[in-house]
Amino acid sequence: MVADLEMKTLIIGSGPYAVNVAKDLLEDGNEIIIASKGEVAPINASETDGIDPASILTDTKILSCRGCAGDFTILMGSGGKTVSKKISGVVIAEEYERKPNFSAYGLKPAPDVLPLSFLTGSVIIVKDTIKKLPQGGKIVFLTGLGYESNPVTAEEIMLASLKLQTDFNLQTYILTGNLKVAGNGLEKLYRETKTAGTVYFKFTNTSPLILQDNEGKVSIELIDEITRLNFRITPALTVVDETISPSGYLKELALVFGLHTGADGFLQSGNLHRTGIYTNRKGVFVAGPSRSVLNAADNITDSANAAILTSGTGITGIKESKPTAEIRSGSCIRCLTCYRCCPYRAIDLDIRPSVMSDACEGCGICFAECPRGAISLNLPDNRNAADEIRQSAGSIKSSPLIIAFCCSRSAVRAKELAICMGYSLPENLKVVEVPCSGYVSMEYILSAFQNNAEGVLVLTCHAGNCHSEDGNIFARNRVEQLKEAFSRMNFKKERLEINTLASNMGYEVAQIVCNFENNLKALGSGDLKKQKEQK
Amino acid sequence: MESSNVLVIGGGIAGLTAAHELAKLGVKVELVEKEPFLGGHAIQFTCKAVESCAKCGACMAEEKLNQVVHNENIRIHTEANVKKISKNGLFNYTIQLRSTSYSSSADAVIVATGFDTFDPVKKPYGYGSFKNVITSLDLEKMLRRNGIALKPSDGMPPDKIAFIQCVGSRDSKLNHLWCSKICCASALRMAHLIKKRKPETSVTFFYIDIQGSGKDFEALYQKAKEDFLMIRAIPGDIYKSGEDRLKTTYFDSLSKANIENIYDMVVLSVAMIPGSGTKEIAEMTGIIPGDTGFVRSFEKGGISNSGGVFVAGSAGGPLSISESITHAVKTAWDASKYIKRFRNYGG
Repeated sequence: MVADLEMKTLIIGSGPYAVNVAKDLLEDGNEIIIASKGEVAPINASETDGIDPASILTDTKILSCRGCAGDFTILMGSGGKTVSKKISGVVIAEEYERKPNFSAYGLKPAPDVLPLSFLTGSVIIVKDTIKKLPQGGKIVFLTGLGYESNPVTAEEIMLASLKLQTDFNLQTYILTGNLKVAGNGLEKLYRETKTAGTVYFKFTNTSPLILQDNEGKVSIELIDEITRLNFRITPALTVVDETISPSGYLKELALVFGLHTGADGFLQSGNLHRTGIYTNRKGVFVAGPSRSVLNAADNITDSANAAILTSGTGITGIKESKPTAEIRSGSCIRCLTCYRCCPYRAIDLDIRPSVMSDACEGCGICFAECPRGAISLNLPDNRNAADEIRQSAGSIKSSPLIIAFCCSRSAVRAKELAICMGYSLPENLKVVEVPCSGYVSMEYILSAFQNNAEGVLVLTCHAGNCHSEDGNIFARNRVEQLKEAFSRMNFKKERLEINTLASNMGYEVAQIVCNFENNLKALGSGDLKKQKEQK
Repeated sequence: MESSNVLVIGGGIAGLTAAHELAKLGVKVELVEKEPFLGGHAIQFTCKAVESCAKCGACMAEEKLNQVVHNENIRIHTEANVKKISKNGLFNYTIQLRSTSYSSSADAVIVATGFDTFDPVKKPYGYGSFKNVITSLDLEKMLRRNGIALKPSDGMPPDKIAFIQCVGSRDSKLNHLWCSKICCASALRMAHLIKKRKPETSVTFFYIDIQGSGKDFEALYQKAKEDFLMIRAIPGDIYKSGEDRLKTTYFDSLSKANIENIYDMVVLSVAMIPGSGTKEIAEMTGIIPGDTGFVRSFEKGGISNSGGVFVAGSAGGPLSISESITHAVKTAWDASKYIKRFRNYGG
């Protein structure tokens, strides 16, 4: 093992985008290492862009990542050796994978049936295949038929079509479902291609019949849905679009770094709290083709943002004096529940688990989940949730007493908005503000009932909008378990509810609370008395 | 950079984001907003979550607002207009407040004048004459306020709603050669929200091409095809039918016939057009609007070529809320880099 103590930014990527990111970072005065899983350096990085060849590690995969922003220790398998590097920040910048949709259109690759990448970029003009086509030859593009395409693909097709139409005197046809023009300049480009002579057939209720003979020749029969006329095209060249999907390597990287992925496999789950290049782990950024299907301008923005974020205070962010979780070593039995449930990878595993305070966001999921009660977390402004629950009955005289655990990001804001909008909330409502609903342990909920609450609400963020990713799911699971237990205890389970809200839902929060109050009144108090007698 | 100042023009989501990013870097920000409130369009939008977060970003406006209002590095002026900006090394500017005016100077200027919505009075849909023809922005506000759709004519929920897309977008007669990007997804999501809360509502969609992409969108669109009547055509004039109902006609190419429909409410998905203040600010700061009327900061030559004027958010073209945030973050950093590297030498 070779130890390297310099503070650098690690760029993970095996293509030209990683080189662009490296260039931006170097320009900003950062030191970098590129870890490329490829056998060779991404394009001629060292020659063209002034990147020191020694800083490019080829045939290198990331094995593990410990520590927190500004102080990561990264283990890499590089050319058969294991290398350890001290790294201050990480930028993941892997390329897309592009798969031609031949089979989706019932086609097989052939000399005149080609994938879209063949015609993208600046190389299009020099391709012999194009030069050999007869003047006025027909070129058909197939895109977004039977699935929804995207503006990046649409732009590539329209640019290629425009070039073929104007520079090569070829006749282009674009066969598509919804034409995706939701990108800057694309509607204009669409008009330009039409002016240049490109013919569009858009399909809604019908589909083109695409046939290919044994020699690979294609013929297409279709109905133009606007004129209802039948057409038959025998293209000299057929171009199929490609599915743009994330690099398969991202799955491994997500595991190594503990990152949340989206339904499509990119390294961002679409959580709005992670706009731009942020991930759930501080100091680990995901740029360009590793985070979404983006156009060239967006990729440039990402690269520039990466350069800023990896220098100076960007890595660790501005220090907030927020309380962070602590593990009491005497009580911990190393079950690693905290490590598994922390959405920020803030638990370091050494001889025993400990919280890295720079990485901890103070959500309290670990506090509520720890089966040993070994984790403590103070609330901001020295508030104490247990005390607030105990004092509720004293501070609120009207009944039925409702204790609502409200997430500070959504429900607390929504409640304030409701008041601003003039909606009235019940006087008997006691709000306990929590950093995340993931902080609301079963003990707190039970304690609320023990302290005379007739109903308990957990008001949390919508699924997919939790800053701590799954805090609202943890809360929901606890509520559901308790409700099930209540129903076995002849205690009305309707006394406990969980609802989701956003910070701008003033109307809805008022409605939820008022409905809940009405339901409680309808329930009566029979089951409560029984509880008290049992006590 | 302790003594540096930036003037941010516009207090929408981009202006708020840029101001907050700069303030975090220790830059003093003067934020000027012409309306009496901050948050721009986004703060008026409704949450579109049905079962889970729809990623519309409307709630982000509340969060940004909160961050900015409580930041001591940011000085906020609402109901304020920039009257004059001149550059002589520094930018000297005058702000017209309600009853007084105020002058100061800044090292750089961020133009975050946002967008306006297209006024559909120019279209034959009876907006302004028929009460139940509303814009997508009207519907956003209505849902935010009441949770459900209500007919302006009588305050009752509509049974049949039609959405007309691309009102003022993708329109060569208006020379609006752009797609407004967000309307398809946001209209579909609002329709889902209405249907979830009142399942008997019938929804029709008139569209050219449905925009939006990605896994989440595929699911949304699939559900739309099941729940709504999706018609790939843009209807002609809207006429009054009966007391307060609305009659539309479109040409169905399948049957080659005109098809008439009656709706209780029609929602026009109005285009994002360049903000009304953008042109004036562009002239004052010397940035050149593109042929669309949206403005861009330095196209070529990087930050050194910007002259200290930067564009953030949808002043540069239609963007979603999260795109606007990402763009404004980069713009704020560009401005801070400019101040650090170029201000002192070039001027």
